Amino acid sequence: MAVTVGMKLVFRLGEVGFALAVDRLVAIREKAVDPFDPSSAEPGRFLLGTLDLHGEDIELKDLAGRLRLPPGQLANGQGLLIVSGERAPWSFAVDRIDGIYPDAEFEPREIGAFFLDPRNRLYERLLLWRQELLVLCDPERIERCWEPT
Amino acid sequence: MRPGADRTVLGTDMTSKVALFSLDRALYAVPVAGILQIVSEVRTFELPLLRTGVRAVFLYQDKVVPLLSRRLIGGSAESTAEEGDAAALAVVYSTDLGPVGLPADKILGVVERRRGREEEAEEGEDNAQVSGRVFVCNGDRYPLLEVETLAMSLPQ
Repeated sequence: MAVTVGMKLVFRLGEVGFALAVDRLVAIREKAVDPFDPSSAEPGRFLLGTLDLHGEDIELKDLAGRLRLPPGQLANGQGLLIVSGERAPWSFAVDRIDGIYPDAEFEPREIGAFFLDPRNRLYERLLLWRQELLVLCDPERIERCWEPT
Repeated sequence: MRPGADRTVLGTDMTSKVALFSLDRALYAVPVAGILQIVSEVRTFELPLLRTGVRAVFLYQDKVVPLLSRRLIGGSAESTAEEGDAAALAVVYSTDLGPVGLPADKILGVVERRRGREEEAEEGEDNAQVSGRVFVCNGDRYPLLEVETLAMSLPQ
């Protein structure tokens, strides 16, 4: 009988570490060499354009920009994560991928909601991993909260 | 120090003492009664989209504690971007919102309140905007931080 073990992918946007449940991950593209179509970009909504995924256009979002982190440089060969959303997969660039690790390595930690930006609640949970605090990346929550209130 | 904590280091009555510290060449005082611990070389995590006035978070006794920004202590509610290096120390302070961290460059001492006097801050007195009160000791003026009020007044 197969036993599934929960896993999380750890990635970086700038100096900030994030963890993403692997069951939310659709694909990883290690180098951002696949062309993306910028014609549908909407900078005001942090949309960079669309990528092709098996013949389907999926949105490429500027997650670092939306989180007010230093912008990455797609031309410098960042990785791309394609994640499952509520309606459709979407993607974003990352600066570094550390690897995939079992859930047992991660311990939940709470931050008082009062100390998070009340107009931009793109995350609410943290994880302690190897003595480092990571942001738990929840693609569906990020989608729901994408527009600032 | 919270009830139950070891009081022998600082004396028998924490409520009558203030801790004096410096930050960015300015002087401040804070009631000792609310201090949980003063920690050094704390590893901070500058998480995204923290509330204005919160520079980063750190771990204290396995809990995530917000570190208030230098600029907030200094009376500015502006963005914490480009705030510069993290302070050498963090004063972990108890509030109704949970523990918060105050940045400090140096702890100057702990004195009994009766060794100085408390006054209203003078009009326009730097860094005394939050409490409006100053602890005066040996000729030096130390804006008295009301940490609970400071934390509750974080801008939206």
